[in-house]
Amino acid sequence: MITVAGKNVQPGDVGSYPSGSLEAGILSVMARSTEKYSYSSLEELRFKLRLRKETVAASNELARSGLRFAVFRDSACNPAYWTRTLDGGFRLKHGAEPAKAIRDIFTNGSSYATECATAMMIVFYGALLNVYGDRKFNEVFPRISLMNWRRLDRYLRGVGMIEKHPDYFPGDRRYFMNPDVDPLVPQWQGENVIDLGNRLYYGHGVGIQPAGGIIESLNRNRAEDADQSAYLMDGAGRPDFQSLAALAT
Amino acid sequence: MIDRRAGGNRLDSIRKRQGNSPCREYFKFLPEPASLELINDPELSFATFFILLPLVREKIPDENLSVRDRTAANLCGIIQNSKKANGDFLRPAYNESTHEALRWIFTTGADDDGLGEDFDHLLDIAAGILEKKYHDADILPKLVRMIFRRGKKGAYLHDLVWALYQSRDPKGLELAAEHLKSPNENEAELAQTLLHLKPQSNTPKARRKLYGSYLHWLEENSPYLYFTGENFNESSTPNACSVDLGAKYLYRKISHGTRRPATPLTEFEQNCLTCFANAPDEEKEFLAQFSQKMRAKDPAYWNRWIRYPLQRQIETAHHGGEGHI
Repeated sequence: MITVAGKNVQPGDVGSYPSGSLEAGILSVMARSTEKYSYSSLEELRFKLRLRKETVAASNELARSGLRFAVFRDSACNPAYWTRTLDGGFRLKHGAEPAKAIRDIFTNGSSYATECATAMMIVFYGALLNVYGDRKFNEVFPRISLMNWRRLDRYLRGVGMIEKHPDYFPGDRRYFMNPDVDPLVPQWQGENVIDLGNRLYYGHGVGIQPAGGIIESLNRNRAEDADQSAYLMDGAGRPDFQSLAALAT
Repeated sequence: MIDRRAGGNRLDSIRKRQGNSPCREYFKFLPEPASLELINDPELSFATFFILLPLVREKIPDENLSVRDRTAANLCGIIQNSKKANGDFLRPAYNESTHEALRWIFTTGADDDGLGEDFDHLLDIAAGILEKKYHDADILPKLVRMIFRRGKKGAYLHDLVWALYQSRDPKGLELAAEHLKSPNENEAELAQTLLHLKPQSNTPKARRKLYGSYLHWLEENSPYLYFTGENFNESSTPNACSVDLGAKYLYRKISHGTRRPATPLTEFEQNCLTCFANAPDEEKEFLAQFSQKMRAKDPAYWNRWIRYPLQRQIETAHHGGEGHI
């Protein structure tokens, strides 16, 4: 069920999203759900739909960017915008413009190499850049630190926490756990992914695949005596949509 | 013969006093009997072996190396190559010589952590294998110290934390808890994160209190803890272990890895668990704690109490167990 300012709302009341579109799909799941999805305004709900759509678009874009996979110890970044930190993360250089620095990863991907968790944060920043535009983005995110979940901006802190939800949607950050990974390759202990809808996921290093393909990749990196398959965890990480929507106005 | 009057290994002392290059130079021009004796010396540290490894490969035939050195050299190659692996990596034989060589790599290499990315990567992987494959409890103190040293420097620590969680050993949690008392705020915060504790006021008094309450919690719940597999790759706040409330309610120790009891549950215990599963969620923790305490204090009363219908169990537990607690 969807409520806006305390009143029940049908998907058609939110906007004219074409049937089969990502937004229409999300609204349909929300409307059918036993969970009550409450918003203070239609703008807040539309912002959420837009950000989810841009998260999917940014995932597709990053998958095509040439961004390389590397373990944190071998990570690499464009020194024009970023400083590589001792733990393998990237910190926005003093004086560098946040919007340009994030856009550079998408347009100049081959200058960068990192693990799957960092790629997830790049996707969310890329999506927010598309939603906000350069000026607002620079204002909201003057300092950016990209690693995994350890130095998250307060609005993106929820992305770093996997929590159970009654429904999952395109644009969610999900996690495939590989409990029997061979300890020689801990980089395969799990795969962070973005749910793209249509049963597809984007994971940096494994590309865009259905769940079965990602599980297969992880299982190839299990210990020889493994008896447990990799699996998609019941949970998702999400940004603080409400605060991000409030900042957009 | 190695001259031991100065103590330790000559190659180690040259590396430590003069640096890597003089050590390599010395080794390069050393006649083979002496170089072989020094490199196979049980006292040699892994860091020295590591910086000399290209020369060792050039100079000494494999069959002349000790089992430790031969295994370690092989592991170094395998670990380096597995960095970019995607299912196509060579696995070592996980036998006792591998265990011994990994122990040597980690325990003698730990003091030189920070020597370089490749070296530190070897330590990370050695720790991971030692814990995931061998559940080696002896290295836990060094492993925990290394995690906090890296935390202080801002260096990469996720693989070491993963290794700590893979040990599935509450002893590792106890060692990490020591750092809750640290006067260094960042160190205390890292300990809180590792142990999945909510951020606390960071006064010395609050830290000591948190340490005390955590140890109390750990002592009470150790037999019922299971490791969840959560880690920093997946979450900013991994909850590495949880209490199996059903096991606590039944006063049954479980495996920290598989979450299974050592012996199968009896039919009576299974019925008790079914009854416990029907308890309201907000009562489960309280009920499990009451049951565990009562079983330890008064087994005879507990035997009667556990047979009560669920509602009566909850009521009597809330009234202190009919005067038994």
